[in-house]
Amino acid sequence: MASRPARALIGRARFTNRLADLHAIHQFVRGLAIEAGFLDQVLGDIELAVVEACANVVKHAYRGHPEASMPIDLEVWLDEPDLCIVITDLGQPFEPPTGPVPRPDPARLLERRPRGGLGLYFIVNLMDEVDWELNPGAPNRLRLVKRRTSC
Amino acid sequence: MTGYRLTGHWDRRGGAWILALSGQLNDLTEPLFEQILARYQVDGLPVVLDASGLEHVSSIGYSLWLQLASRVEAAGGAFTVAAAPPQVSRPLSMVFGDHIPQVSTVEAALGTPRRTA
Repeated sequence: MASRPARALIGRARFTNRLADLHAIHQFVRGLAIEAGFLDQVLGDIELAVVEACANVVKHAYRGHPEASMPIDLEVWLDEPDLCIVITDLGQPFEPPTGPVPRPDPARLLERRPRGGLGLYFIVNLMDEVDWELNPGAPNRLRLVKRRTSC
Repeated sequence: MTGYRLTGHWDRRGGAWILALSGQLNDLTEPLFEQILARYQVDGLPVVLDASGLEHVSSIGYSLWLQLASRVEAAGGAFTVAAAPPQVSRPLSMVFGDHIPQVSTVEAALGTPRRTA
């Protein structure tokens, strides 16, 4: 019996910076994560982190670009026993946090940022590994890993 | 078409407003949530958000809940989230655990015993 490779690409797809593409991205990752055996709370963590990350690409990295004019590439790897999602874009590079992302202050959110401001906190705290690969002139890559041990 | 859906229903019960939400609350359904909120007028009564029908809430959704809680509390009421599924309950606890209380059922939020069959 052939053994399953330790690291396998289980899905790859190109989406665009159209906000409505978030639904297709969400369903794409959700389907693959379920297929890979990630369920319940852990599945919810993966879904929220990916949707937040891609919403940030659409709203911030691609700010000023016409809708549906720029690519968002997703790769989903089963890196046994973990699930790894790589999100690639060609937008404005994001300045990654240099330390722990502080818990959002509700009073500050209400005063200064009535909407949003929580996405990065969710991404960093819901996933087990979060790495940004940002090089001038090269695509931005965000790598998100969820460990099966957290299932 | 966004592919996402969000429905909401207000019901006055046990001296409180119950807002039952179903579907997904995120950037794409935010306008629908605003429409649902437009049907509500702050009157000092407690508001219980019945989250049992929600499948997914993104950061913008939690921010909107924080704003709603602030409005309700400013008028002397209390805002509680009830029956949230784990994928909603956990992120909400992570960010607003100290500010938005959660209970397991709407009945618990209303302080009434749960009916059994």
